[in-house]
Amino acid sequence: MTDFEKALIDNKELKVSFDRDYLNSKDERMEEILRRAGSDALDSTPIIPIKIESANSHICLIPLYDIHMFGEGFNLKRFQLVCDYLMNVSNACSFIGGDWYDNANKDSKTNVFNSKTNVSQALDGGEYLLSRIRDKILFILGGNHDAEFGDRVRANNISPAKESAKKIAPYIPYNALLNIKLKDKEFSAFATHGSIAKDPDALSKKTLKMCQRYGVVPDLIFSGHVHTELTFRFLVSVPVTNRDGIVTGYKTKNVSVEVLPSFQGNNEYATSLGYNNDYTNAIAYDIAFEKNPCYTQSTQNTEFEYMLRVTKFPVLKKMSNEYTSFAKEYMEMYHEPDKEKLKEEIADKLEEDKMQKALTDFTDALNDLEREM
Amino acid sequence: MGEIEKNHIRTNAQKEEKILEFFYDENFRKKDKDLFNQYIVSKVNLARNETIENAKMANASDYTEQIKRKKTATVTEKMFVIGKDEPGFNLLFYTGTNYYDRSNPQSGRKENLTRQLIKNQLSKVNKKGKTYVVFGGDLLGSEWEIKYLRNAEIKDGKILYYGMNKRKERLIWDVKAYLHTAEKLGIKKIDVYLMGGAQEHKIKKELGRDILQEACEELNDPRVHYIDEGVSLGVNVIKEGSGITGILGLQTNQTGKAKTINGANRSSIRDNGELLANLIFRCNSNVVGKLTGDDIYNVSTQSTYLRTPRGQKPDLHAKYYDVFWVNLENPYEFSVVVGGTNIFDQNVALEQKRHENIVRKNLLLDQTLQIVKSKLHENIMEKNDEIEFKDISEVEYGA
Repeated sequence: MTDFEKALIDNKELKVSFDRDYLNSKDERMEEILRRAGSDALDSTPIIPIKIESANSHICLIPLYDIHMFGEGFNLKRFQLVCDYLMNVSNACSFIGGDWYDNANKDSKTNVFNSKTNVSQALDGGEYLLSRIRDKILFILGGNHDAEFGDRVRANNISPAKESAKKIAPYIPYNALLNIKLKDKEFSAFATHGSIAKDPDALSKKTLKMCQRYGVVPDLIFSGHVHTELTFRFLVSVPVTNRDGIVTGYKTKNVSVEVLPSFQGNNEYATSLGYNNDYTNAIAYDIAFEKNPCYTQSTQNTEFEYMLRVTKFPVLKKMSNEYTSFAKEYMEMYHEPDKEKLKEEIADKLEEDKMQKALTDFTDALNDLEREM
Repeated sequence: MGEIEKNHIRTNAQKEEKILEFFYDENFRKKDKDLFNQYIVSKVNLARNETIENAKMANASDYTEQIKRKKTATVTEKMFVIGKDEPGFNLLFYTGTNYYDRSNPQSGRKENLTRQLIKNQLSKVNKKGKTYVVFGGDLLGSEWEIKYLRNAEIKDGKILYYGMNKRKERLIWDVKAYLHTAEKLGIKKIDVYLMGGAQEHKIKKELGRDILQEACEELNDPRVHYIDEGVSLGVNVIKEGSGITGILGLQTNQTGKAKTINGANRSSIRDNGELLANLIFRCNSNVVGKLTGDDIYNVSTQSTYLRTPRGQKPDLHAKYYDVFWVNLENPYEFSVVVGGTNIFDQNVALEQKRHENIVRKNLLLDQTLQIVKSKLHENIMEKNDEIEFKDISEVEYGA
């Protein structure tokens, strides 16, 4: 990596880093896989910690769940609108929440003959569509249609999502535990496909238990799988420890389970079960921190000083392929600058005699250095 | 000594009389003597002998009048209007305050934070649209009944019991707090709607007083309205100038103690009945969130705890799911922003500026790199021209 390229990366406002043992390098990954194979470790539902740091006070997270690319009922037009939205909103980022593909294994419940394309074409098409928004995708979770979850004993378990992900973003087979830092404040979010539990009640209990070993109570739990938009909010008492790890008290925190809708509309399977799958959409979460109004001298032992402020809005209208009014307003506020226009301005500046002379002098200096060396 | 002797309670009947006196002072107004008498007859079986002697049986027209008073409306006369230039409206909920109840007090009351909580809610309001604050039932609490007076603690000569009059005062205080705080924050278009829930319904039935109606009359403010047609109602929402309408549902009757999603949903339907509306907000549910695929939002309450069966340890109630921004996107189609839309603080503009600078810098680096690379390449090609290349076809290898 050249210094120039490194400088480009350092100028990004969002930095993503993964668990050292998991994704840092291929060699380290292989070392971990071989270590597990040689030990008594069981592959229960592991969690991959991911750290995200943003220089901004707000982050706009738009998880994309259950896309079921090119499967029966997949809504390409609406998916492309959401991709455009991601590209046009400067502080927006996303992750794929599993079921990127539809009929990746024999267990799939949707009728493969009703798909818009065959599986091979779906893989090519899926990679093409996601490559456009590659810079906005933080990671990709596996789902049951991607052959990652589901009955391991029966179906073909080479996950096409994992293979496709190599071209897009890091692949997380099961669950991700995100530690997101907005400037100087942090919060946690847990992301899973959703097939680990039968409903949000059960999911919340299971998640809290899984995160306990990391000493974390996530503020947000993202899930999908059921193709329905749901929210379940509850209050937990979180143990607070001092620097020595001793629990000094309990503070209350709101936890929200957010189940995302899908991009797969009506299909034979859903209809046979009486589901209403008409509603395909993406949901955006503007996340920031605010001062807790219940925090005072007398409540400092039971209340956190800052709490998460989550503003949740649908990206698309239900009955038409357009952005909702607030989604438009948000995009105007955070609009990505027109890069083509900026390129033209810069090109004009660089054409000026003064700049041309400076660049020529610079390359001459490089040549002199090369000759000396 | 004689005075004390004269006023001293000597018998249980006198003590009962005194308790009823306290109950009357705490729960009725001076002009509500008839209601109080009615209460005594219906509740504590202390009907005066002459009341019984002079009573007559009701007739058919009395029955008709009685059932006419029963509210069966499904749509309220009140309407929410989105102005032509307004991109939507703010909808705030303030419910489940349980004024003066000890078993499930109002959140923040202990630390005197209720004003702070109201301010926090109103700070999320988008001033481009109107603000509707719904006081959605279960406001007046349930520990006003006479049994709580009989079992009240007496401390330092004070009976720790709080009747309806004090609870009404608190309600009026909170409504005023919303209006004053809105004024301070520059929120000009605000309306408060009072809507009864299970607790208010019980008070009406037992004491014969419509406290929300009284509060409205005492406040005497055109911005304060009483939705009195029932506990599960549709509200017409109209977008001026476009002809677009929709029905927004408000439901306030919840008594179930289920803590699971399925249990809470079932008990909501049982308590409120079905309501066909394009968007529904349910108040006072034990479980908070959007729990089904339908557009039904169970808002959070001001209660500290969930309603819990006797003998079980109560769980804390979720908070801050009570501010929404609503717009009519298409006929009968609402979009809802959870958490309010007043989120673009001054940091946002500065960060956006910084982002533009970063993008510009990255593009500049990129383009400069391209130019430098191409210039270096030109130099290399020029140097290659200076070198005389031998025709290697004539070179003998090994020579």
